[in-house]
Amino acid sequence: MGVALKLIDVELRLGSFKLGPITTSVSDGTYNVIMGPTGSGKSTLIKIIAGAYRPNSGSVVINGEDVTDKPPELRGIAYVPQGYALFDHMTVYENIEYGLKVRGVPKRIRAIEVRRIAEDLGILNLLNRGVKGLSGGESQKVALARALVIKPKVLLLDEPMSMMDVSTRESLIPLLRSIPSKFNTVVVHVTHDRNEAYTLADKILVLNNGQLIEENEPEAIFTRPSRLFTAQFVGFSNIIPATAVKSPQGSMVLIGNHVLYSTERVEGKVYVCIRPEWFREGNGDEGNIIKGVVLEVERASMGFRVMINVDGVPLTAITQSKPSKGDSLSLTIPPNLIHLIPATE
Amino acid sequence: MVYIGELPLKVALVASLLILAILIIYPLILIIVLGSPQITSALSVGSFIEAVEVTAIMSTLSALVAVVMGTPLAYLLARYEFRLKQLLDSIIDIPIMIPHIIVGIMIVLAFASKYSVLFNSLNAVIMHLRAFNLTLLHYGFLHILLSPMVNALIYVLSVVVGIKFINTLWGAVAAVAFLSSTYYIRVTEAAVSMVNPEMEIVARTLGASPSRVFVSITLPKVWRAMANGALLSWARSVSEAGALFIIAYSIYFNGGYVYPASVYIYESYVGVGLSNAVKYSAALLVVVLAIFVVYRVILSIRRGG
Repeated sequence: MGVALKLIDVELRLGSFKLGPITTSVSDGTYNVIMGPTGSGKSTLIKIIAGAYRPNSGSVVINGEDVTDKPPELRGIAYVPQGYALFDHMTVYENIEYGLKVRGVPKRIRAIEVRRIAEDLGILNLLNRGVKGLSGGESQKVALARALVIKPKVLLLDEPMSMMDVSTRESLIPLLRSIPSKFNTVVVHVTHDRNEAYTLADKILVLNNGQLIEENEPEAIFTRPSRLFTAQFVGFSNIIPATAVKSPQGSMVLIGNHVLYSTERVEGKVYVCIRPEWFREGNGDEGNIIKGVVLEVERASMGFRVMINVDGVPLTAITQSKPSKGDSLSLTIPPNLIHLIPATE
Repeated sequence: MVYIGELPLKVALVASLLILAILIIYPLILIIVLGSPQITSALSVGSFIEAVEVTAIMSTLSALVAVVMGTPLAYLLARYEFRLKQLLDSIIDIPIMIPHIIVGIMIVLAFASKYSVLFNSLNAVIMHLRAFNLTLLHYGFLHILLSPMVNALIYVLSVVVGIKFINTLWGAVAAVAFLSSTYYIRVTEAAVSMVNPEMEIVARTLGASPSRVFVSITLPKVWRAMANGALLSWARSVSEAGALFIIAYSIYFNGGYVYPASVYIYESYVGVGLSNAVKYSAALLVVVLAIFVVYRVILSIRRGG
């Protein structure tokens, strides 16, 4: 797989905010998600790729060509901003047709292309409508059609689902996921929603305070993050500082009075990271057993979110049964689900 | 149910309406009521018609200057952050803060006096070009090649230097454009800043050049505001008197000297008396309001009713 987009030491200062230097690349035909909290610089980065901001230093390379000094119209990209920015003085048809029209595509060809993309995205019935009054899902499809009709090398999506209700969002995920293969393009999608990132991405790039924290496949980011910030951001509710020592199977750490074994080989100061849903209730045959007293119980979508006190250390677990405050609770966690991050930060 | 604070609000509203009525509506109605029987007679006076004509031309040219100069500036202020933005912002507001008589003096100083750095510099350039042209005579081929260009440049600069500002349409337009462009720039700037900048970025990524984006995306959304700003600027120019007292008390027009409408009314007030001034004031008001209404109707037709 070739490299479709490459950022080399890209750096930009906007007032007191500094983005980068960022170096990364994304491959042909992939769906890439830039994930990070509000103000982390995700949208700024996507605008640098789009050509709306010119970096203070570094290069943006698209399909092997350095486009850093090129204006947006010569980069071979398409951009769907948050809120879609549909041209509200035009009809849906005129919106989709716009990119072809400004590129001088003959009217007859434009009509064919617009209908083709509208059919692909299921919005043929909207073509003659104005864009005011379209639903969130319809607006997004129109924005995607407008972007995809010019056959971009890179499609940039800035928080494309932030303005949608849950059901519309779920219905659009297969469509977004199919874009790289169906339209032969690379997608760079920006979001602060970790579930959205996990569902869609072939690769996730984690951004915080203008810095690229780490990048990897979603499974690795969500189960074996290499940085403390990523662990916090992707939902490791239990992050406990400890000291790890080597053991025959990997490492062991002390949490309260409990010795926990991990299959990961790390030594020294670490953060012990455990996702709350990885705990099992009861004394399992295999794994570390943790006993504690229930402090709080909250209803959660997957069961109950239980906070327990383990020898003075608070832990959070998701359970299927509902314990009461003050109950003793035994939890099991297998060694391969205890993730250790060296405490270098 | 009476809400706390409703009574003070009502009192404030009544007070503001009262002030509005006394300061604006009452004098306006009075001048129209008193002057209306004589409007026809005023509009049959040739010198007054000429005054209105020259004022309309001056104001229209001034509005055009505002559009040409003000549109890029308004766009720049609405869209970009840059180092000297605050300074530029303040400079644009200066004309509405300076007494208009002073503006007249400034225009005379800048374009029609021995202190005019611009014109003195242009004269110096012309002199140097003439000297250069003479030197070229010693270089046969170079003279043939360059002399026509140098002569053309001398001609253009001489035309510019030859422009007279005192009591001419040029001077009048310079003065009222200086004073009225701010209104156009501010209205247009506000309108541009209301257009979602993401639309322009999207249009660029779709392949449109900056000028194409302005014409196809921004302009359709701001042209009404631009038209309103131009009208505001035009109306402000019509009403100008102070700067014209200095630079163009009378304007050379159609082979003779014509008073701008505001000066004409002042002259009739000082020379003949209040009732005469009321006659011409009411007539000018009616003409301006008619133009205003027609303009607005045209705009609303363009909007689709």
